[in-house]
Amino acid sequence: MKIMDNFSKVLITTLSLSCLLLTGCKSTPDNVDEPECREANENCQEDGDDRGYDPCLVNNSLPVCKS
Amino acid sequence: MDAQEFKLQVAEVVGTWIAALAVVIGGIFGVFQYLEHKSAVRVDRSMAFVERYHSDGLLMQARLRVTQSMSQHVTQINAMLTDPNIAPNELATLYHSEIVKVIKRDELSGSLEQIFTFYEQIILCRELNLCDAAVGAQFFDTDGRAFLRTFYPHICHIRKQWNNPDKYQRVLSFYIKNSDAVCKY
Repeated sequence: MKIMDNFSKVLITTLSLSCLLLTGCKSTPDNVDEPECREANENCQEDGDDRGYDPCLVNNSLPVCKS
Repeated sequence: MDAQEFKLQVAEVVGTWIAALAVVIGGIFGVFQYLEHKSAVRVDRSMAFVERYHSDGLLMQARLRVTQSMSQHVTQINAMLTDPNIAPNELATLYHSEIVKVIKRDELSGSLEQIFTFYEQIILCRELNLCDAAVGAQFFDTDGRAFLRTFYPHICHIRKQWNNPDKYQRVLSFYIKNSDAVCKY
């Protein structure tokens, strides 16, 4: 059954290669690095409070803030 | 059937299966590659908007003008927003007229329209699935929401002035959920 052994090897190799290629898709992780902070303990995650003037951060009773 | 014939038959069957598997796996791989490419193109389009947003062009000049104006008036605007003597139902009307006054005084109308148009373009690009939604959200939504919350009175003002109730509807409704109500003050 030498011929079967050869085909088994080919089959296993093909499948392994295909699996490797398929798992390669999207294998690069999405960038989840936090932005660099000016100071070590500073929370500089973008939470909507740190860029541009926003009247809702001063008084959220404006109708435009009801969202 | 002797041993040699059996081996040949097995070889034929196994060979066919391998070929079929290779075609299927190759096809799946191709589809993955195609989707990956589409996604990369969407990210590139979004990054082109980011570059435009931060480049030294007219848009940046417009943003700088608006920022400079706001830094001059922010104290009086904040004083009005935190004035305990102003009733909550009057606040929107006063804020509206104050912002319209600031825009008129500092001639910000052109700059604002440029920025609103830019935000509309990126929203349209996202809605048509031509740009990457996650990239757009990360780079523009914080700025865009704050900007719309600050300068929505200008949209209301020009809607009234131009008799066009749909002006900047896309950008207003994208960033402000109760957008239909905000221009009633």
